[in-house]
This record gives sequence, structure tokens and C-alpha cells, in this order.
Amino acid sequence: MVNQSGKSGVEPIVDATTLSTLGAPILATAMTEAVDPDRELVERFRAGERTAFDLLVRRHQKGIWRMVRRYIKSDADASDVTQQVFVRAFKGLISFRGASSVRSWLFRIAINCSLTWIRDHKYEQPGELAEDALTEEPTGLANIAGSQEGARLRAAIQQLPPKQKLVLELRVFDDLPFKEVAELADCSENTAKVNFHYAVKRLREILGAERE
Amino acid sequence: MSDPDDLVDLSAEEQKLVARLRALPGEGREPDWAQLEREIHAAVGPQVPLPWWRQLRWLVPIGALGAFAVIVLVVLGHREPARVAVSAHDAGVTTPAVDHPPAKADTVWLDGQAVEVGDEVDPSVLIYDDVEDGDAVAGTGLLPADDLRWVDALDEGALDRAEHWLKKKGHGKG
Repeated sequence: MVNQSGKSGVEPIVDATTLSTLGAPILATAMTEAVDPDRELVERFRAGERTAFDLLVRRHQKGIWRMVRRYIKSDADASDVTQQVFVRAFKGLISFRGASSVRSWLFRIAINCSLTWIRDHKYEQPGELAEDALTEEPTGLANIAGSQEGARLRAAIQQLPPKQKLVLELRVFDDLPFKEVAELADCSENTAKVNFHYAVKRLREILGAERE
Repeated sequence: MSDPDDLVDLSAEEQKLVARLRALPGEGREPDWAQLEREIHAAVGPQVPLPWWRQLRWLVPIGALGAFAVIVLVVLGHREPARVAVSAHDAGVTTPAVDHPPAKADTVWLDGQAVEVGDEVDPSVLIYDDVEDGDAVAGTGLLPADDLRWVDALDEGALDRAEHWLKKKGHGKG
């Protein structure tokens, strides 16, 4: 199964946290390394292999761009910020300690770069409508209806509290596991799950209120 | 991908909503990924950056050398000159005989003059009695204190003369 972000949805049956609570820290550590497929690329990069970073870019640029694009309402600017994200990652990868997965580390950089860009371009950001929306050519009524439905859902998401919005987007659109969502949202895994559930319920309330 | 954890405690309507959210297309028009990858490749440069401690690795030998030099200077600065024990045997020179210190001599003040008295001096020599200079017997001035057997040898005439002399001397002083 391939999800929205284009990566396969294979996850371990037992995660590292569960193993750790069961009293198998060594096995849990080994599993963390085994779960993160990017760790090997990082080691190769640290050993001086420049092409390992290219593989890392190829693997994550889509997910990073899509996440950045949710913050920045311009395709070109999203590409620029994505480039900044990888430049910063290139400089910092040597000192990456591996406390989190490489993907969540990259997403953290992407969130920071996006927020910095928004702060620096506060008065240039367009509203809810993306600048590219005007140039897109819907091919039929179904697309129009689909885009309207999408716009309505996205508008409803914008009304969520920031924490719930962040958790929902990372979980639904970026397909991150709750452990990584929690790392990026600076909260525990359980708190992330609770925020996700509240976000869904709140979203339904918003959409229901709009219909009425 | 849907995680069963997402759907726990969610109603059927809420689960459908999550499915609709997942089905949404991404925002914006996606770029040419190969082009973006090339741009990133050009932006980061060809060299893998080194960690700071590897960038400053030339400092390690210089620092170690400097520390060693400082230690050597400190050690040498506080070191006393070593005493070289020259062995007479090794030098082929006969060892000169060491003179013992002279016997300890005490100075005794006698009759207005200092007299050095060594260990070899017989203490009996220094014994003197209360006889005044003019009372010396037999012209010696001193009676032999350690041998008074001569008293037993005196005859009665001598004893009478002595008593007479003592009486006469006692009257003279009294």
C-alpha cells in the first residue's frame, strides 16, 4: 500500500517503545536502528560518502515539500524553503545524534524554516487561496466539486487550535506515526493521540455547523 | 495508510471524515522532483562537512606539544641541582684521613686566670683545701689531701707544738 506521501506503509508489528517497557532495552535499541532506514545513509554520509545525502534528499524531498507547502501558499517559495531545509540538514547531519528518526529531524527543520519564512514574509503571504489556484484548470464538474470539498475541509482545519491542527496534519497528511508526531509537537505520544481525537471531533463539529 | 490507533474511540462518521482527509490531494502543484534534487545538490556543495573537532584536528598535536613543553619547563624550574657523589675508589684517589675533632676542653677560672682542663687532667689535682698561703706545711703550700697517713706518724712533741701554734693563732685572730 502506498499512501499520499508516496512511501510504503510497512510498520513493525511491535514498536521500540513497547519493547523498552517490556524490559528489553537492548533489543529496543537495535530495533530503533532497524526501523529507521535512514540511519545507514547517515552513517555513510558521516564516513564521507557524499552520494548518501543525495539518496536522503530523493527519499524525503516530496514529504518535506508537501509539509512546507501547507505553511507557505506558493509552490515556488515552498521549493526554495525545501532547498533551505536540506542545506541546513546537510550542515547539521554530522552532529545529528539520532535521538529521533532522521525523518522527524528533517520535519523539525522544515517546520522551523517554514515559520522563519512566514515571519520574514509576513506581509507578502496570500490568504487562504493559493496563488497557483487561479492557474489550475479543472477538467470537469467532478474536479470542481472535489476542489470545493477539499477547500471546505482545509478551511475547517485552519479553524482548529494550533496543536490539534499540527497533530492532525502530521498524522493524516504526512502519515507520521504518533511517536514522531509527538516529537514534533513537543508532547507525549498519548497527548498526541488525544489531540488527534479531539481534532477529528472538533473538525466534524465545524463541518456539521457549516451544513446547518 | 490507516493506523488502528487513529480509529479508536472515533465514531463511524468521524472515521469517514479521517478517510476523506486522507483522500485529499496535496496542496499546490508539485515541482519537478529531479530538478529540485539537482538544485539541492548544487546548493549544498560537493564536500561533506566535517565536525568541528575534525576541523580543528591540527590543534591537537600543537596543543599536546605545547602542554609537554610547559610541563618540562615547570619540572626543570623546580628541580634542585643533583649532588654528584664522587667515589674515591672510582676516582683512583686515596681518601684523606679524616681528623677526629679535638678532645673537648673546659676552661676553669682558677686564681684569677683561665685554665683549660682536658679529659686527661686528673681531677684530684684540682682539689684544694682551705689552707691559706701562709699556712703551708713543709713549704709546699698544699697538704696532700688524698694521703693523710702522715698524721699518724707525728710524735707527741710535734702534736704539742701544733696545739701551741693553733692556740697562738686563735688568740691572734680573736
